[in-house]
Amino acid sequence: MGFQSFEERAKNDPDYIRRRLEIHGGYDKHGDVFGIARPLTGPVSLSVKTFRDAKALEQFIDEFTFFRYGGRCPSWYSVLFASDCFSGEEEYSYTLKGKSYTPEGGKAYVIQLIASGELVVHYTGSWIPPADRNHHLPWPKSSAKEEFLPVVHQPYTLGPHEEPDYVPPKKTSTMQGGEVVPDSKTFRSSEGLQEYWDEYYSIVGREAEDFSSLSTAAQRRGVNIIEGDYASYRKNTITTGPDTKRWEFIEEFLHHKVATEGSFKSTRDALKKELKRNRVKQIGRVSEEIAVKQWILSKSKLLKLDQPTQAVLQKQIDQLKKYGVSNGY
Amino acid sequence: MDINNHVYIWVTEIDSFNDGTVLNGMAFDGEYGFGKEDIRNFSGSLAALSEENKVVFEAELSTVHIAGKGTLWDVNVKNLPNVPFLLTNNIKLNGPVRQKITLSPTDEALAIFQRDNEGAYPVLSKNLVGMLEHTKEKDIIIGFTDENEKFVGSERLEFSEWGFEVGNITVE
Repeated sequence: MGFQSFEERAKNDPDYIRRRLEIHGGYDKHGDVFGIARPLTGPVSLSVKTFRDAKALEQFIDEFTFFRYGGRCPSWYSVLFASDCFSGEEEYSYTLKGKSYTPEGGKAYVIQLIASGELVVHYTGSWIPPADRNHHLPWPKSSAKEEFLPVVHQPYTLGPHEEPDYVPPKKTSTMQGGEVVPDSKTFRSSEGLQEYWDEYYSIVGREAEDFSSLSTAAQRRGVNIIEGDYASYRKNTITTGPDTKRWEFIEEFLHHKVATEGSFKSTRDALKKELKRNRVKQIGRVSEEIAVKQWILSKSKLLKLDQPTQAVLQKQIDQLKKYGVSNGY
Repeated sequence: MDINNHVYIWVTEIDSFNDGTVLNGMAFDGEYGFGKEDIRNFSGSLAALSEENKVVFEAELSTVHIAGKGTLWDVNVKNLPNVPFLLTNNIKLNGPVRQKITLSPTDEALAIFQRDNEGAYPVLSKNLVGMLEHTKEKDIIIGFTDENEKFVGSERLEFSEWGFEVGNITVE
């Protein structure tokens, strides 16, 4: 028998497709399953590929974009027979964007972009029933790397802003000797700061979201997690508050990565130039703030950010670019 | 004055935070106030210079990120002067001298003053590090100088983090 194309082999051997499917699968840039194979519940053998920083990840994604067709692989057929999609198996390497890529270790795998900014590669090979194909399924609980997978947000719930004792977010203030003194030196006015936070909390509520899986993942990376009054990051420790959202936890984790790994260096450098050009004060601190928020916003789909969160992040970025950190954001 | 590899932070807010103290204010270097890019901590002798006094102490200074506030500073001491004060590891620094000045701003500085209406800016000159307080009515320098150096009233002043000239000053 001479050389047979994939199509010919599939036509002649229906089971060939099934076998192929068992070793293919993947996630798109947004964390959704695109393939038709994924590890099912139960033990799976995992190997994780991580990147030293967001820049390395972004470079990887740029070089090995695994999607066309408007960001999604249109069908299982293209997974098998087109090299546009990111997938791998033992015997083949694919050319993506003009570059040859051999799957890590030469084994079957699926790939996952996680919210921490790392890309993880999972060896797998499980069969997914047709009924489940092409659904946007979360990574199964059996995966050792499921922690940073976004969860689908619950429908908006009305928060305590409707309660009689609702206290809106604090305005910028100066604390001296334990007394809160209204800031008497508002050198430059803020635009709608209070309003956009009020609006945000009126939609999403002030309740903390469940970020236990994020905590677990961060702890595995050596970060301490403690409870406190508000979200913060200090000396390898993330503190969470009673109203901390998942995206805020991720933000603190990203500040940890900036502090310890110098993440977002190129983005921060570019922002510094822009801020300096616009004579914004405290360009180093402001650039970090913007870089982190921009990254979160750019991964809105992956992180399943709801519309109000995306809006408030964008408003924060706009505020920071115009006024810096002087008056809150 | 060369601020490279030195801590220079103008502290305007103090708050307690767990077992330490959180400081807000302005870094002079356009980074995090440690005089070098991406440096975020210092351990050793620090001086806090306010109009009331100068306090020298051994401390660990590092950054802390607080949601809604941004990256601030965390220092493991509690008895600091009342704000505002200059925090520096240049413990030989003297000051402050609070001096009303006449400023002839450059066009670019003038544009900033017109935009901000009033404001406080970290500034540098050959012999001085300090804050320029600008209002419509007056300009004041809160200046710090090294030992044996004196405030000179006709120096070229520049914005420390933007690196361009503020203008010529004369002491009133």
